[in-house]
Amino acid sequence: MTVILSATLRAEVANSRIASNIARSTAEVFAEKQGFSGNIAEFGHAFELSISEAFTNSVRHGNPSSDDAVVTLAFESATDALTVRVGDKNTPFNSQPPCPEITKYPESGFGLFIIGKLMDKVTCERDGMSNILTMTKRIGRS
Amino acid sequence: MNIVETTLNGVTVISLEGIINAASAPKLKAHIETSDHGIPMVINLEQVDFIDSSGLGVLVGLARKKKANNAVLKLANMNNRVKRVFEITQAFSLFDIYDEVGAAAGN
Amino acid sequence: MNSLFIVRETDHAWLREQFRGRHPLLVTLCNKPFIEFLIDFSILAGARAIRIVSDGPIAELEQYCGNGSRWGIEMSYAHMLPEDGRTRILEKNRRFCSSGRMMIVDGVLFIDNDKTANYRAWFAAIPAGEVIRGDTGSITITGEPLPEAVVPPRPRLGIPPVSSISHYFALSAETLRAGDRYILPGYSNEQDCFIGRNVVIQKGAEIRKPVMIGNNVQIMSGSVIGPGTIIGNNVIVDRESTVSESILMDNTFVGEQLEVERKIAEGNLLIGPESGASLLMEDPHLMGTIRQPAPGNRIVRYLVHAIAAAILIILLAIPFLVLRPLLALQKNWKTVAHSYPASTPGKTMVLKTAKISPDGLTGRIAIALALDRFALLFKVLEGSLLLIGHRPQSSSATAGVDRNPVAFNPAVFGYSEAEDWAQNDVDTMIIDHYYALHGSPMKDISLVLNALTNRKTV
Repeated sequence: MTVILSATLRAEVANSRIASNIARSTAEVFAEKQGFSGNIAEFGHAFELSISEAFTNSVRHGNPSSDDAVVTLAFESATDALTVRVGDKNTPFNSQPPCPEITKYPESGFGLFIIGKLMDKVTCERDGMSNILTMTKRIGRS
Repeated sequence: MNIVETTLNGVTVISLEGIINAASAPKLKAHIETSDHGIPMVINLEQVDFIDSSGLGVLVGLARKKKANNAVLKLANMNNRVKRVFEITQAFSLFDIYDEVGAAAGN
Repeated sequence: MNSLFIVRETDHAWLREQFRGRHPLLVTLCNKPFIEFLIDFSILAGARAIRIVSDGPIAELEQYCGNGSRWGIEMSYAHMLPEDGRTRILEKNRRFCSSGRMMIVDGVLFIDNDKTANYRAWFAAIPAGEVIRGDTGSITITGEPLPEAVVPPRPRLGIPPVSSISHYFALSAETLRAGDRYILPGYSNEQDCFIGRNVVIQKGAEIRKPVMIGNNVQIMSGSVIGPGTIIGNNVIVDRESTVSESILMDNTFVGEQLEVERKIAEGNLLIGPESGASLLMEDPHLMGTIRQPAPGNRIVRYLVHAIAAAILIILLAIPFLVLRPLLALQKNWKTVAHSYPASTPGKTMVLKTAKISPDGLTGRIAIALALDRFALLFKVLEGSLLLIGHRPQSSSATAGVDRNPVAFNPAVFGYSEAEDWAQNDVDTMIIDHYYALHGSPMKDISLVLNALTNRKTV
């Protein structure tokens, strides 16, 4: 696995667009480079949406006034999959929450569920005082 | 994200343009809060390129208010990227979804 | 002309229950999903774009059909609410319906037709209105016909009922025998006989027409695939079994000396279509009959594997000594230690392999020579691993299977690497268990050679 891009962004809601744009571009370039025969735009969108959700979660559950309030993104490529690690300094959380009951008209709580549906593998680990949310999506056989 | 409100057939059409994420969703929510919920409303998503769960949450909240008034919120012109979010969360079951604003406004 | 498929969650819900939660339109008839038959017919009728409208999740369908480029048409997808009537549905898709002539296929799973008939001319000429109605659905045409068009005689058209497993079974048999009327998957230079890719029919096995066989199928010696049988993809029919007038769905393993007649086999369920009753085959992959070989045999196996491993070590020693430092310099060698279940139940072992990326010539050679597993070859000498067996994996998809760890033989190479078609962990497990049942030390060596030549450098 090779690290292809690393970024550190201040944990502000305004930066979530930057984060998701980075994710989309990285994913699309990766897919094209690997000769993905499927829908490259869809692959890119999966990362765009997942990072938008993950970044927003990190901002929402963090402490904005601290100097530590940054979110890190690291993209790693393997021959058949792209992995992104999202790091923040917040308290631990459950990376596989149940699906919100749609009939109850929930206004929030979808984020991690959406990530789980878009990505092939989602794990959350603690690394010292940080959370690392790792998401991997395969591009299948081309 | 830009919000333009017009009327068509006596129906309020709220056209959104741009991206609805955590940064812009509060603007949408604030705008909607000032709208009259008694009048039928259509949200036109033709110029919406991307929406995440923050944006979806605002729309779901509005749909709930409509339901309390025995109405259904109508959405029009979702592109594939927007549709995907509604599909994954099954939120499509809470709205009337049209592929054309005129039809949504009951032309 | 455009075509609109209206698909309600409640339509054909029995199919979803019967076939393990798959979307009814993706259930296969003669190895072809129902949706594809509908798409074929729409194209035959002259449609350039198809939209699927459903009140339930359509991700599965969208995943399969994509944007329709496979068939040279545009496919799109829309949602509706369960309570929506026909008028409301058309309003919700007004932009799509604005092209004029529309064919609305509502609640239909299968259309009886004949691909050699001219539906395009007929659909272009008939007046608007309901064209045909079946038990659960209908086909309607809207919009103006071509002016002054003469309506040709009505071509073959029907909506057969598919409301029960016995309907499905009868339709399947009829479609297989319908010869030219449908486009069915598989190569055939004879009528009534369709064979897929990578099909191995051993000497002594017999095939009797009409028959359809999917991809990646093995028919072992002595078996008879009798008339009227449809076999899906990734199926193994073991020795001396007879399968006649039956359907073996994808990913099914029929054990030795079994007689399957007028049945549908799916996974570990054997369904009798007339009665609808189903029988749970006790042992889906016949794991119960896999035992560790007797001690005498085990020693033979150990010796054969150890000798082969020693030979491999000698052959690969020089490439290893040359390439390993080169790869380390290129930072393309990452040692990974992982713990896997061992052959003794309850125990685990730690295995060190290397991760090599296929970047550059050195990387690709190293992968082709399986140098990432070089260290494991020594474990074969010491007896804790076999040379070929079950590839150690800690996968949740197969977690339930490890109930029978007696059968588990962790090894350097997995049997599934000798084959080429395993797409997921369940396929891998089927192949591994099959060879664990039928392997012999000498056969193992030829499989190791297969596994080595199969090494993908991508």
